[in-house]
Parts: sequence; C-alpha cells; structure tokens
Amino acid sequence: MLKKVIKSAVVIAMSLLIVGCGGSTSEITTDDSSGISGQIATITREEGSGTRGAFVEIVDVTVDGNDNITMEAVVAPGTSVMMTNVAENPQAIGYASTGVALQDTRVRVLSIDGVMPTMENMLNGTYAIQRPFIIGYITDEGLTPLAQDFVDFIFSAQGQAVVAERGYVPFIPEGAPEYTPSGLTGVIVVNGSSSVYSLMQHLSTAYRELNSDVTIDVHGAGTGHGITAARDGLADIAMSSRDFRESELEFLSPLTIAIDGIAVIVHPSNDIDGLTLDQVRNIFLGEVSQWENIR
Amino acid sequence: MGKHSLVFYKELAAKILFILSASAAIIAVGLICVFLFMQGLPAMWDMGVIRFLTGTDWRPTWNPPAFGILPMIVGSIYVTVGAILFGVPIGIFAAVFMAKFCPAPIYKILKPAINLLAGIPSVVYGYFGMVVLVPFVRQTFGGSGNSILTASILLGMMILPTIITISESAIRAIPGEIYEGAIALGASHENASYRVVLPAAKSGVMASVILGIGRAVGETMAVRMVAGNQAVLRMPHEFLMGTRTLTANVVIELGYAYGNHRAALVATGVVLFIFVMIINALFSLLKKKEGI
Repeated sequence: MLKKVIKSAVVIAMSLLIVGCGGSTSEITTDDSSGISGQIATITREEGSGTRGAFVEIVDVTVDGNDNITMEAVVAPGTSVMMTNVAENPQAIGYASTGVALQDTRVRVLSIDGVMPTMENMLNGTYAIQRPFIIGYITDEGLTPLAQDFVDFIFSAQGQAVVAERGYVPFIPEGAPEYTPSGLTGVIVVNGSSSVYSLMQHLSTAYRELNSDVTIDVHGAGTGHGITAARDGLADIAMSSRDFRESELEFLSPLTIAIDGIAVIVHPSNDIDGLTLDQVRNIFLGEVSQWENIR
Repeated sequence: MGKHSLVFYKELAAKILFILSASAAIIAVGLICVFLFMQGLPAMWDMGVIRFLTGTDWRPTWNPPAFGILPMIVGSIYVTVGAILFGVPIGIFAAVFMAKFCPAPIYKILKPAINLLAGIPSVVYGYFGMVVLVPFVRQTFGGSGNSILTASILLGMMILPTIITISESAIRAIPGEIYEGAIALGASHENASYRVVLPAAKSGVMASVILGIGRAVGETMAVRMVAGNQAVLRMPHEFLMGTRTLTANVVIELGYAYGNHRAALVATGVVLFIFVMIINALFSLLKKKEGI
C-alpha cells in the first residue's frame, strides 16, 4: 500500500513537471501569418508616475482634463516591470522613456505619425511624444555649494556629453562650458523619477571620477516621491520626468537637464510598424480594443 | 557596598533586560496602531466611511477625486481564496505524506526544500511569476496573463511552506497510541492516517491554514508584479482578468501621494490592518477552543 501511494505521488509529480515544461517551452508568438490580431493588452504605468503624467498630457488621453487611461489597462509599477510585461506578452502595448526603450532589445519601438524617436527627430521636434527631464531644488533654501557644483557639472560640456551618450537630447547641444573640479567634499542626495534615475546614475559616476571625495545618493522612487523628499528636506535635488505643477512651483525651482522622448513599445513579434498619435490615444482610452481594428 | 550582593544586581539587570525585550514588540505594535488609526480614521470619516468602503471608483488624481476601495477589498479576498484553493489541499496532503508516508531518504531532501521555499524573498517569487506563470496562464487560459488566477497560483505556492510545516508538526504531535489503536482495530495505514490521525490534528491544521491566509492577505511585492493591478470591481467568473489588492494599492501609489490621496492610502492600510486583526482573532479563538 505504501509503495502504491509513493508511486502515485511520483506519477503526479512527474505529470505536473511535464505540464510545467510544456508551458514554458510552447510558442510565445501569435503564429498568425496575417499579422497581429486579437485583444490589445494595454499596459500603463501607475498613477503619479512622471512618465504616465507626461504621456497622458502629450497624447491627450484625457476626458474633461482628467487622466482617463482605461481602467482595464494592466498597471506596471516601475519602468522595469513595464519592460518585462511588454517583452513577455505578444498582445501588449506600453510606453517607456526612449533612453530605456531604444536600448532594450526585448521590445520593439513604434514610429508615431511616421516618425521614429531618434535623437535627430527629437532635436528637430518632429517626434511628438517628448518631455523635459527636470531637476528641482527648494527655492527658499537654494542649493548647497556642493549640490550647486554638481548642477554646474551637469550643465557643463562633460555633463551634457553624458546625456547625449545615454540616448537623450542634451539641453545645451553645443558650446556648454568646461567643468573644472572644485575639490569639495560631502554627500548629495538625489531622489525622484525612475526614468531620470538611470541618467542621473551615469552623471553621478562621471562627476565622482572628477570628485572622488563626494558621495552621491541617487534614489529613483518616482517623481512625486522625489518632490516630497525635497520638500521634507530628505533630498537636495528632486528629479522629475514631467513639468512641475503650479502647486509644486510654489516651493520648487526647476532646471531642465535633458529632453527625453516617450517611446510606444510592443512585443517584437508584433508586425505593426507605427501608429498615429490618434490611434495611440484611442488604444489607451480603451476605445479600440482589438489589434485588427488598427490595421 | 549596599546590603545587596552582586548576584542580586545581576538578577535585577537580567530582569530589566528581559522586560525591555518583551515590551519592545508590544510598543512596536502599539505605535503602529496609534499612527495608523490617528492618520487613517479621520480621513476615512471625512470621505464618508460607507462611501470609502463601498465605492467602486478609484480615481485619486481626478478632479474631483474618487476614493472607493471596494474593488481592492474584493480583489484581496479573491486572491486569498484562490491561494487557499491551490495551497491548502496540496499543503495538507504534503504534510500527511511527510509525517506518515515519507521514506527517510526522500524526507531528507523534502524537508530542506520546503524550508528553502519559505526563505525565498517575495520579490523573487514575483519575478518568477512575471516570467513563468504570467506567460503560462496567458497561453493556457487566454487573457493578458496578469490575472486573479495567476496571483492565486503564486500565493498558493507562497503559503505552502507555512501550511506544510505547521500541519506536519501538528500531525506528529498526535500521540502514537491513537494511530496504534486504529491499526489494532483493523484500519489500514492509510485509513489510520487520514481518518484518525489527521482529524485528531485538525486544530493545528486549521491554525496553519489561518496563518497561511494571513500571509496571503499581507503579501505585496509578488502580487503587484503579477496581478495586473487594475482597480476594477471584478465578478468571480472574471478570474482571468487582473485585480488590485489592498496591499498593492498602498505600495503602488504611496510614493506619489499627498493630501487626500495619501490619507486615503493610509485608510486603505487601516482596512488591511483590520483584516489581519480579524484573522489573528480567529487564530486565537481556535487556539483557546482547542488548546493548541
């Protein structure tokens, strides 16, 4: 009897294993030669995300001025979850900073109104969905001498070169002043947008190569969080991936450090090359829900 | 020197040390209670308790905003019930197997494996869910894959170690005479194990289930990575659609929220806290009744 039970347990375990393996190796693509069809899986960022705020504003996914991204959209908290979700789902459409999206080979970037979000197209303004990367500091308190030095570096030739290297449009494309290390020491805390975070990491690495005695704490907790942190004195510099709101401008001074596009992204197996701004809008409003209605 | 010996002071110091350690836990719970209720209850009152608890619209950034957490309450209940459906039968059978049927060599592998399962951080479960379970559910059942079902399966896996470990000890704690008595009366090994020993251990098994439920309700990181997080009121047959749990609601938006929105999230925390308190009260009731 005991043997029988063990045997059946082993059989059950084996069959579970087989089912599991079958699932992970089976095809991921929609294997439809006539192209993408079926339900559109809309993926959005969470409410309060700077990327979402800028996307909604520029594409005008609003009703009566309110963010009206369909409630049926999967909410991906954070840029990395967004990328993984789109990379894993053949039906998906999402959006992310071009700096991230263009370097991630797991997803495909769509053209908008026939324009790809290249550096050139963002500089000449033909790519529609672009936004500023902003850093902010408390107006009344100003920047500490050390933070001021870091900001000087960002706007120097070296700093703006880092911006261009990462795939963003520098705020000062040419003729930025040379930066000379100040020899200051101390800690700078930077917090905010998860989209600006990776650029800020590279800026801080480049800065610390010239000022090895400075520690820069960069956190990417989200635009809203960064602003709150700066207001509460927990951060020297706030990072934002959208323009500051009026209520925020009452206590924050903004500085634009770069321009970033928002790329509309799909699974690599998706055969659609581009969408119009209007189509993007209708998809995210939930008014178009089938891929065949796009084609 | 005073009239007390060195031993007396050593005793006293040890006493104070133990009292402080013991009260640290109580103070922590007390502080959390006070903070949560002081911030959350007034906000809930201002928004209208009934409207807050039964509202189906969650539009925190709208003008005017809408704060209704019914979709999240229901979402939390769905994924918890789902986790019980997946986790409890497997967990209890595994516990009986380990206590009564498992040959020693297999036990040597199984036991550490289950302990390891308990130690895996929830973000790792979440990533596993995102790249394995979500595509699996999408290909097998359709939908986007970010669904109540996916979250239930993942949570079912996550509560397994709790259920198995506690149920197994409960079964092992049943005196051998009970099992032997059943055998002596002619029951087979299986009959004695399932019909006599397992029912005798039912209070411990129930306790394991309740602790598992507690873990499922409170789980945050893994759930928000696979559940889709749509704040939409779902019906039970829509288990292939996404949902948002109370925990996910708090953690996704807390970083951005200020003003009323923040207060509404703290109030969400209060509701979650009350949920967990009810579960713990059930646990203590059971304990008192059965004397575990």
